[in-house]
Amino acid sequence: MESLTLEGIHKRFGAFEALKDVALTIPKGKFTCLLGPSGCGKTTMLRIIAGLEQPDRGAVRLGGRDLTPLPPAKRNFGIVFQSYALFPNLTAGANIAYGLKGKLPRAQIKAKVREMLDLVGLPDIQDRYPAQLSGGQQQRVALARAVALSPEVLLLDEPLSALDAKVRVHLREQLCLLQERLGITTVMVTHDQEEALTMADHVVVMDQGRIAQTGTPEDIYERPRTPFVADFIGAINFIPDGGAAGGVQAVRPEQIKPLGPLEAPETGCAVLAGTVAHAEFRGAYYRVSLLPEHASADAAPVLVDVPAQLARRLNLTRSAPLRLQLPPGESLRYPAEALDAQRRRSS
Amino acid sequence: MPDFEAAAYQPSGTAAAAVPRRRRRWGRAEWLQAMLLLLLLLGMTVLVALPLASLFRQAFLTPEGEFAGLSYFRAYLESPALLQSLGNTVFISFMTTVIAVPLAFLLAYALTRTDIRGKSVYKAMALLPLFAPTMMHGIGLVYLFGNQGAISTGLFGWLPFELRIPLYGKVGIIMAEVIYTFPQAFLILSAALAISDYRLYEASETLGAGKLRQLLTVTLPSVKYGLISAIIVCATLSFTDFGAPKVVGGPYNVLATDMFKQVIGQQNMALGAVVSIVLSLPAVAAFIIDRIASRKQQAYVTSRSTPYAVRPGRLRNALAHSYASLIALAMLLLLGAVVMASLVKAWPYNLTLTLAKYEFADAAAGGLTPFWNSVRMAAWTALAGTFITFAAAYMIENIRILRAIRQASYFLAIVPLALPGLAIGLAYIFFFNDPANPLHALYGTMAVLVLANVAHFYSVPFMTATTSLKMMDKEFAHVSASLNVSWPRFFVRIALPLSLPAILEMLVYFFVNAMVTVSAVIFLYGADLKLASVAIVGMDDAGDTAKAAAMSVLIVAANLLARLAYEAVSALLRKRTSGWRSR
Repeated sequence: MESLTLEGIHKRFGAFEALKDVALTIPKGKFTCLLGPSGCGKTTMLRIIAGLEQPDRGAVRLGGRDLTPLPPAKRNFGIVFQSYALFPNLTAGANIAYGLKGKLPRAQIKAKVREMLDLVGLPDIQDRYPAQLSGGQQQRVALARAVALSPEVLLLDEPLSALDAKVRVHLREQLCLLQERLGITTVMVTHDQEEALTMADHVVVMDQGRIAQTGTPEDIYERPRTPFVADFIGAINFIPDGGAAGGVQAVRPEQIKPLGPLEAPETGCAVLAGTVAHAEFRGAYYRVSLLPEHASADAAPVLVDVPAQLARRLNLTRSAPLRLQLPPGESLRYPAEALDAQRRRSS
Repeated sequence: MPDFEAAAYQPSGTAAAAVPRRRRRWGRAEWLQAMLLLLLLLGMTVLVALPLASLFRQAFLTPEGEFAGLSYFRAYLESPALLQSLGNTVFISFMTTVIAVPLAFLLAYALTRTDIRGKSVYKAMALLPLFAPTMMHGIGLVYLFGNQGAISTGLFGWLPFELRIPLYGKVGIIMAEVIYTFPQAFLILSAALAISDYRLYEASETLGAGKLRQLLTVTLPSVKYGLISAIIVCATLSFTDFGAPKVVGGPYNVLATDMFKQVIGQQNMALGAVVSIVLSLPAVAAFIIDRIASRKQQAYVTSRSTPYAVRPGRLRNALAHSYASLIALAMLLLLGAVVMASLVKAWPYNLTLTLAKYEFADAAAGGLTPFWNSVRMAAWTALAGTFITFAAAYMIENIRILRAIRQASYFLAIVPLALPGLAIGLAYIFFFNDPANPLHALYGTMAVLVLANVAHFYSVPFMTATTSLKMMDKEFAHVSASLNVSWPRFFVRIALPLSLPAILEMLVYFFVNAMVTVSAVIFLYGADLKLASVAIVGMDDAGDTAKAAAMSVLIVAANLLARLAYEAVSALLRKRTSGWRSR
């Protein structure tokens, strides 16, 4: 097994440029997530890797081999689609056996199907039809079908997005365990940043047909290179730092500490005072948007997480005053132009 | 979704042009697919394009092969008799549509928007005319309202009064055409009414709209395209029908009977070709309107629409029952009269039962042979037609190369929808009877009849197949490819089983229509290959109305048997595959 590389991949659909000279290395045996908003080109990229789409320029390589001219059938990649695409007229067992027929002797196919069903934790559903399975079970059968041929690379197209929130969290874990056990190079497309952060070894953030940043989940979350990445991965506040350069400071809500009425800020920490615009109950905490004092009319409110107990003590109704302590030391900073560009896009 | 296929062939900017564009080289599968596509296009050309070209050559060229321009058309327009027929045909078509569409709408409404019992029985009764040749509607009317009709004579004199209508002529034709087009309009309107979005009714109700306003603002707009479709179908079918005017038209001439006279009576092929082109014009126009309308409709109902929920209403149900019973009764009465007439010694004088009429002993054609010829032809049409249409739809839907060929084949597949049977029949004569044609040997054989029928009824099964294939998850083929499974195996293992209900539907559609059709085959049958529907026309012409009735009954019986077999197999299939569908 070798690492998968994309070189100068370019793809356009009519006037729309889906991918603009993308180069990327996907480490072998690792779980890589392609993450980005809809229309960023992540699905096109997956389809090009799979061979379902031809790039206009560029190459897909596995180790030294050039896969670009090969049709999907010749690539030995396993694919799980968003819709699962389980054949409704075949039982779960027959779905898994579908790709094995003619490649293995019958007895081995039978054993392989059993093994796959055990692997995904569904030993008893062999004779059921897809319509008789729950969404989560269907997803796992699709997964079993994709890995039954021992593919070199496993490609997952938003595999969890059609599931209920609870099932999704459970399957995330299962999928990661399975990937670890098989040690198979895996590429998953998702638009859900939480999914990417929790599951991936390696995250590729995409934006408008380009790669915005690659790195470990921690890298991406803690050191986002652009305001886009910072904003897309989790919530973040862009606070003008008042410096002559006109830069902005990027602070995540959980890094901000709300101060009690008489509480003094820690030394070296800046304080931001303002009034509550809105408080959203989230169970363990409130996400409060605060309008800073002396802010210009079009300034965005600052988001901060206030623990539920403290919030009740502070009685955070609309227009209530609140002081915030910003984190000390060097936090993330971006030049103002970068932020403006980002704002123009998202509005 | 962007059109990937189109994008792949678009020229890109200069930067891209500098680098040679990557195109996956064709493997064995692609060459095979390309061969099959070429075969398909060739087949469609022989089936549709070349016969049509011959028809046009007849209408625009002199027998010596010189361009005649519009001179034949001018000759046509200068003939007052033919112009009179054109006016008559337009009148018939208009009246049929004005009567049949509201009648069908009411029944469709009664069966989709109420919770009355016996809906399936009412529906079956309403669809009965589909199983009979149009001549039979005329014959039935003759036995009810003709000179010796059961109703016109006041139930053979049992009643103290008579009930006579001037049947022979426009009244009879319009009545027969209404019966003929009613089930077609009913099917279209039922489908349209069934998919209305209930949320719109709830919304209009919460906004305080009354029943009338709901009808005008919700119901009618939501079935607008269905209505357009129904109107077009009724108008074109009655415009081009040949069977009913032949039987009850009397001296009232319409284009279809005119054309028959020109071709069979006077051997005037050029004028026949001209009339058949004139006959096709409204259908072509209607066809274009319908295509535009149905394209717009797709956006109307979304996947989040909720089905119509019927609320209790006793008066409404009583009205619905009465109306549906009335229609069912009328259909049964008509069929009953024909069956009855075929079983009695001499209507209306001697009503003792006999099977003599079914022996066809002294009829010109030999006994039951025409009937069995028809059954054989229908069976072959069903098999060949289903095979060809399904294969074509599958290739057009699933092969991703050679887009131009696929589009051309698609176009040729929907053209027959706009062609009346008489035009197809005539086009086939011109094409296959040409000694220069290598396929000339087929002329007068069963094969040419089957081909004409396949071409004539191609479009609807093709749409059925296409719809069924479109409903399949697009990713199925991709999964299959990624698992390195060949596409013939995918076809046999996945696509075919999933399409089986549609395939059965196509089989029975081809069979039933081939059994009842007369227009496409009346020019084409060989001397030793007389068909049941043609025999009906002949026997009726010769005054053997009772025998014509008997032959009609046989056709209906064969069709009902085919339909029952279809229902039985479908039920079995549903039972066997219930695992796929139910939770």
